[in-house]
Amino acid sequence: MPLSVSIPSHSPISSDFLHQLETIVGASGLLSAREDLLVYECDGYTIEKNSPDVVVFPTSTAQVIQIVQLCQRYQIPFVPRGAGTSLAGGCLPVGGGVLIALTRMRRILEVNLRDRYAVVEPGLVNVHLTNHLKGSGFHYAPDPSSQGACTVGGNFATNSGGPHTLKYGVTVNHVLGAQVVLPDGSVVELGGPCEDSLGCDLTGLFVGNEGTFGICTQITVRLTRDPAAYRTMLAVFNSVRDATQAISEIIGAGIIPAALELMDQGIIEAVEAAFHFGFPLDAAAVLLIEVDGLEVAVDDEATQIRGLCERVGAREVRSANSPQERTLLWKCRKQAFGAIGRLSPSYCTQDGVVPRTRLPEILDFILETSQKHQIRIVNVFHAGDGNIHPILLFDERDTDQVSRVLAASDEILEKCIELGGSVTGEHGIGVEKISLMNRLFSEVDLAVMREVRDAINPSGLCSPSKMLPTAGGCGMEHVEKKTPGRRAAL
Amino acid sequence: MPRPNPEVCPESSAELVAWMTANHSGPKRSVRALGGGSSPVWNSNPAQTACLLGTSRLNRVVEYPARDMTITVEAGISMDQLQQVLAAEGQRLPLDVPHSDQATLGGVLATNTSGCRRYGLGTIRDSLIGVSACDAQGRLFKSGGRVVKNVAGYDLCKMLIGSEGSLAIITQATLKVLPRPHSAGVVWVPLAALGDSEAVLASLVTTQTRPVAVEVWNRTAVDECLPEVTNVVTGPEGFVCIAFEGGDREVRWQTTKLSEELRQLRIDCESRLRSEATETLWADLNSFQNHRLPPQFKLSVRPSRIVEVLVKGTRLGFSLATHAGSGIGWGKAAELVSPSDFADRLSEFRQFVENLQGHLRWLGGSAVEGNPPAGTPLPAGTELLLHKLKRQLDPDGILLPGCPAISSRTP
Repeated sequence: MPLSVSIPSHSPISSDFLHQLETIVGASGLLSAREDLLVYECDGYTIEKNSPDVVVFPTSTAQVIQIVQLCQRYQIPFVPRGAGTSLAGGCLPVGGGVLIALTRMRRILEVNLRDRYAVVEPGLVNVHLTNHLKGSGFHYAPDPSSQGACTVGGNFATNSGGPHTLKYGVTVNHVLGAQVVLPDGSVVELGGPCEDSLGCDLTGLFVGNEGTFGICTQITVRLTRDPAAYRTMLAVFNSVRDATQAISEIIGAGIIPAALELMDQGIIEAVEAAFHFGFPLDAAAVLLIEVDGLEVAVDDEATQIRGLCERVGAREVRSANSPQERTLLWKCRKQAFGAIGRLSPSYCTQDGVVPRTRLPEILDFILETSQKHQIRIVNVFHAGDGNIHPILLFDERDTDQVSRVLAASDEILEKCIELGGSVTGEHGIGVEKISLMNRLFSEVDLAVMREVRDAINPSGLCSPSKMLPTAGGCGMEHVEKKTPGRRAAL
Repeated sequence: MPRPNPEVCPESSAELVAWMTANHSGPKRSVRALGGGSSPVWNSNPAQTACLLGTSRLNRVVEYPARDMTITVEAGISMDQLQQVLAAEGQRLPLDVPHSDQATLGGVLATNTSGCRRYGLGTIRDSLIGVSACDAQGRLFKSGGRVVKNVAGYDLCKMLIGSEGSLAIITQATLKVLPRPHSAGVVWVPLAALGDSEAVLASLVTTQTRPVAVEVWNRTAVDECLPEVTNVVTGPEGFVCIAFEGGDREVRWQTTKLSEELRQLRIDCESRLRSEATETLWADLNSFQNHRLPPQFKLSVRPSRIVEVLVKGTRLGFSLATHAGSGIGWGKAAELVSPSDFADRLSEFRQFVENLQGHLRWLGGSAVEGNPPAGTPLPAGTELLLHKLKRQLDPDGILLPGCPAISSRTP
């Protein structure tokens, strides 16, 4: 039978291999023309690009098994991909090979409210699950800002966060089990609807594996009761330091809001221009604070928070007076990055984390770094978690600016490590931060992680060159980092 | 509960590492980590001849930035000691641990111990953000960190949870902690028939309240614990207990509201509030796990099947205390039975649980002599994967060979 798809001239894959792939997924489930592959040469991290040799769109676990077994037989690397919203190059097909796009496996297989779980396919868009549950009294708690596009499988692979993870936890806290096609083509069922599993917590180990442990084909997620009531507030400050002091006071007082987000003046300016919410343009920073829970309890917490903010110098604390106003506030926050284009032709976002009480120090440092390198930096981030997202604004056509942005980014992340934090709170290591792994972890730490990976992915064909630096190398052998990309962010 | 005497009891991580390194390059003795020795899971482990390595001297608080709401401690710290340190700052680790005066944090992690409040507060996996551990070769490695949000590298913290010391010996852990709530309250539903509990449990899907614990015990379990527990409200076949915690107003509102909801369903109930000494309430609800005669088995099913399990198990003569909201049950023989009779009953019960897609783990006990009954085996794919991990991390099989967390086969 003649092939209905073309083989790129540069490709190491054979026509026989391609033919067998087509037999598995059908002609409509495969792309191999160079122009079609361009879409898949990177994800939300655009600094590094490399086209896969072929993209396949399986529709069942059985097809994924056959694809993986075929790749093993021909020794072709393969990489899973959800919506491609990763910000760290987790979906980058380093070395080419087969990109397994899971977007056609997007069914909700089961919803069980009595037992508080749902079983979904990995390509399901995050918000589609919560939309499906509307009116049931339950929701799926992890809510990355990209939830309108990102997939539950991608969230599983990167252990995604989001604004409401402050109270509800990140993806791993909501995953009960998974079906995974391992890199050798066998299938393993990890965990499941029963809350306790036999043996050690392999489900937890697999969450955040960044696609290096195989292809997740089903996920059992925990469903969370909807809060009975919300109180959403906007606290306005004349200095960033006052705002971070308020964060410290709120957490220090033992209050865990559902969300606690900071936007500084640069971001306020951009989102106000985009959404016309009525943000005070002369404010140095605002805190978006949400408490949720029982109607009888939220007012007490809101009053306490209001008092703490005012005590450290908030000039105003507004409350969202209607569900519509709350929705608009959250729209401003979640789409803040979309508004950055109004400030600069290019931008670069970092994802460092510091202990919550060190936020004033890291924000002072970011300001110093901005001045030192003459690069404008604006901030919008998950303040309650200490998870910063400094956004470095620049013009990528100016090579001098580019090198200053790279230097500033490195210095900020180094400072996060120095303050006892991490280089990534929710975006992942991918290929972007491989070079920083040696600074966070010792050689022994990394050796043990490599051994764990080798136990599950001994051939190394599944998502090669991700997360862990090569033993003894600097970790960036395959990457010549020259240009910070223009990125979306959480 | 008597604690075995460890053969080796290092005073620091460095000393532990040095001993493990020497052991690996020398005699390669089998090693079994010992925390407080209080967990029935630990006591059910084989490898009785292995060298016992105690961690109880690793009991220091390494760092406690209370305003960050995290704490880093050595793994041998007792749970009581840890909770006392946290309580001084108005904080706590949200976890119920039996024999908490003896149990160590490392042991809790290794055995994945939890109690009644897991329904609302989760388990130790939800609090653990960083870990250090020593493997069989004497390599000290870490995973995670000291910040509450961190996705750098593989989450080896999770891999070590429930591994029972078979992959590495945990030496230090960092936890995120929560404020201590002020009050607690419970709504008791005495049961004339165990099957009546299903209507209560099903109603919780739509309740306006947010319980932290949902317990159902059969009468024999209640009777066993009654000498120590005086505040229980039980019926002829046991009780349902739904518990809340938080501020005074929210606890009061919830106990009142739930009572109203249940009465609308024509279910009789009785509510109690506790604004001080709330820990005694939780101790009461964890008393079956905390009993001087420890549970002999643990089971897990989907929460909607727990009442069937209770009815069947009661009929077979077991005393059962269940964290019903989570589908977890603890049980033991309620009456004196011959070992063969007990084994037959347990086998029938295990089969029943497995038919409901659940599992049952045998933890041991004096009712059975000779060969212990088998628990549910690990799923084949999981067991294979665990063997591969074990071979990579402990190729000489030094750490707890035959551990049920890794292998279903009885050594």
